[in-house]
Amino acid sequence: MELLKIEGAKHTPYICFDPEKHQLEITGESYPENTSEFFGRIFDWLNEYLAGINDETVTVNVKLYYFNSSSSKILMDFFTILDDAAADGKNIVANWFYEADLEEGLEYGEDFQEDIESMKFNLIEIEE
Amino acid sequence: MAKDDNMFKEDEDRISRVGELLADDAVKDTPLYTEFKAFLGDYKRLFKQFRRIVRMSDRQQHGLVSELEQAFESFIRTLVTVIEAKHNNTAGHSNRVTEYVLFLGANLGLKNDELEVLKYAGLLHDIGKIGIPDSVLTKNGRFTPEERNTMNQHSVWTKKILDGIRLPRSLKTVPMIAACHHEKIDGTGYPFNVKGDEIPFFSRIIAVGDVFDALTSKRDYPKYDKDEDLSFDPMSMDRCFRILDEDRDVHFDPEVVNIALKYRKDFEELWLELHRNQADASLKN
Repeated sequence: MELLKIEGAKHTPYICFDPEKHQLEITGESYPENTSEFFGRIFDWLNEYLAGINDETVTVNVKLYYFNSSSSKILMDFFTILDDAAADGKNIVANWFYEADLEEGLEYGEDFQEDIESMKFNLIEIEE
Repeated sequence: MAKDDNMFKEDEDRISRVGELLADDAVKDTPLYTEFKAFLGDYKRLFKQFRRIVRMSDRQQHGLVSELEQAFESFIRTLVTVIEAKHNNTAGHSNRVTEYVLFLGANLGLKNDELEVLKYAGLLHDIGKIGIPDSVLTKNGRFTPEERNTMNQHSVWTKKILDGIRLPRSLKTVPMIAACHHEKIDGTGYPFNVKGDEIPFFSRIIAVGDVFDALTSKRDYPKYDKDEDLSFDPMSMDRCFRILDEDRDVHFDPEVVNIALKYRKDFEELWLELHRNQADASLKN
């Protein structure tokens, strides 16, 4: 399976899903003009990847500062897919990073964490 | 999040009512029941998601607006600092005037959104000085009538420059307020020679803050009390407040002067604090 890498742009986040290191990273801001189109291929990649792994530990790192409403819906779906995979026995750890001086960052993480049942979901404070 | 809870209460109650109906044994074990129960599960999940998205979206908007406001204010403050930097004795003038007018405005009972307008008008009132030749702007001494006329054009420049900025809707009155800070209550000011209530009220507040700072700071132009030429140095507080008092109904709005006199002790403390801060900054440089 190939590495999925999308450079960050003014309205879209940096994406790097590495199937060899089993690390998935989303960083930056997310205001795509067409959110479904931007994230569509990411979901295609993710579903194929999750179907092909066994007991490897998958680390998901998300550092998002600003995102629009459609991106929050997409992220909820993204975490739900990962959580369902964890419920099926996959070993998945998600890390939500937030800046220490932005209290909203922690609250966003808690909002995403609310529905997670099987996957480990860490809220990690970072200094900028 | 109490507001959110109220906003969605009717929807939550409806979901609960449907749940109670489905718990009734009489409706169980039909294809419609099975389908509807699954549908209700999906609906509940989507509803939860929707509530969270609305919550996050509100927070995102609030964060963005705050960030834009902070960026706008810091840009304006930097612009003012840059313009005043070339003129040593007026460095910090607009910032001090802003603090004085906010002090007066708060004691006049202005609301927060009004104080915001006053803040930007105070910061930007002298921005038109950028349009005045240095030979006049930085002259060390009293102006000739021609130079005075040139210098007075800075209010017109202030309006011209600020009219060109696409200000937020809440700050649309700032250019006119800033341009009228040299108008006098008896109509002998400039640039429009308007009088009394024709002068925007916030300009009348800035007029007091502006003159107070000019009298109590070291300037390039000598101070004068009526026809008497004084030194370049700060004037005594007693003399400054006497001038404000005597010039009410001539130069200043009496309501604003009354507030300045009523809260004189706090006003002087603010002056001391601002000049101490400036002295500290100069020592560091």
